[in-house]
Amino acid sequence: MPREPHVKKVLGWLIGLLLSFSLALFPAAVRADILEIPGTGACEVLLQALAAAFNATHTDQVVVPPTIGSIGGIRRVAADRAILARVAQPLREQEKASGLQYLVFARDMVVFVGGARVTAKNLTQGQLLEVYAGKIADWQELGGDPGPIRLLVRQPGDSNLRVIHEYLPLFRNLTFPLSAKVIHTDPKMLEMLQKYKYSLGWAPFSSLKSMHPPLKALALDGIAPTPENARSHKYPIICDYALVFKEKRLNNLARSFIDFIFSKQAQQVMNQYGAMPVDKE
Amino acid sequence: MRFKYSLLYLILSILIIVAGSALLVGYYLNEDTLRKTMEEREGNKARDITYWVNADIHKTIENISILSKLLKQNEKLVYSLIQYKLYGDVTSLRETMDSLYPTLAPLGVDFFLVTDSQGKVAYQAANAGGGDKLLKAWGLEEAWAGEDILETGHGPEGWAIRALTQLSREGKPPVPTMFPWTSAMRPSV
Repeated sequence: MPREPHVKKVLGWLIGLLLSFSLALFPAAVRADILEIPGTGACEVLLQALAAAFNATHTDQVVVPPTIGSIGGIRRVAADRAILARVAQPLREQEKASGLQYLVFARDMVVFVGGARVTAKNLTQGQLLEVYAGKIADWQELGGDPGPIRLLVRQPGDSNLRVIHEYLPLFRNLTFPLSAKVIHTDPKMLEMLQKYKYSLGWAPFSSLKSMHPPLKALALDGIAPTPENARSHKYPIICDYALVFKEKRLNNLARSFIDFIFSKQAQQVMNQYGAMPVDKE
Repeated sequence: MRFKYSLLYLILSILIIVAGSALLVGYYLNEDTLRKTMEEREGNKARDITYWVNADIHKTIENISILSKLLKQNEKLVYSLIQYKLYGDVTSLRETMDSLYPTLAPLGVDFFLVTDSQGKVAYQAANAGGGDKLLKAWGLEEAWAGEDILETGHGPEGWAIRALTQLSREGKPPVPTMFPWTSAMRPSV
């Protein structure tokens, strides 16, 4: 009989402990997984829109952090510090050999963009070469209202510049004038194009809609940069966007996001941004 | 003493192998530690430099932003500019700017100049400059349109942070004369 209060006390402690454990475990049971997709700034806007559409219908969340470049993204996946990376350039042989997979999910145009006060609508390849060589310095010489051409360029190795080199080979031998500003990320390029009203730079077409007011792309050799002209190969400067991963490291969230970006819903999002969806190979 | 079949050979061999292995393992461990230490040290140094450069840039930006807002409302400066615009007389402008510059210089302002609406430098403080020099800085067109511009560029003394502001009188139309102001990043940073 004298033991009864002691047993009650022990039972009380046990129940208390159990309750504490259940409460401690409860948040883990409802916690959602987070998948970060580091990499290029070229498809940052597009992938953010895709992630938002995915997150709206899933408990697990996909996050598209600020750009660290395609190479930065590839390095993270190679070092097992990320499951997926977003890139705008193909893998090199050594990267392929290390077991990295490359999955193209969209195509996009690289377009030349003028600032808000630029009234010129079209540039020829010849004019572009002269402008970027510093021989033409005023918009008036390109059929627009007078104003100094403020040149914005990207650093060597930029994925958009690589695509421009592919289609405009003469661009490769150009030395940009000292007055040009070198920009190091795509979001910064958009910001600068918006800030300087007489600027000229290049950017991915799908990112233009993210700016308010939206930036306007210039036609190239009389061909307007529209998705229709890109699909029919009339507009030539096209860039592939892909995800890079190690097959064995893909978790359920990464797999379900990959499935999502090839879905009808994701294709609609890409079309809204002027990018061209690609079927899963 | 016979050594031919002695255990000494075996013991010596084992000792040599153990000592050699310990030496090799120690060497590689030390090399690895040294590499990590060097990486860490260099990493810290780079982070420190980034931190101090960023802090200095932010301080300069803050200083020139505040000062440009204050100078924009300086009545004496505005009327000196009007006089310059109306009569082409730079005397009043020179006096005003030269009297302001000693206050600005300790705050990191290396250049203090005024242009007209074509970019022609009217006067540059402490330089007796101006005249026909044409300023081609980025952001001039935006400043002429009334925006306060902060920008970086290559100036006469290296990389510079510039604040470009249009001078105006409160409640009255803006004076069509510009007031750009340059602050070079000091090479010692």
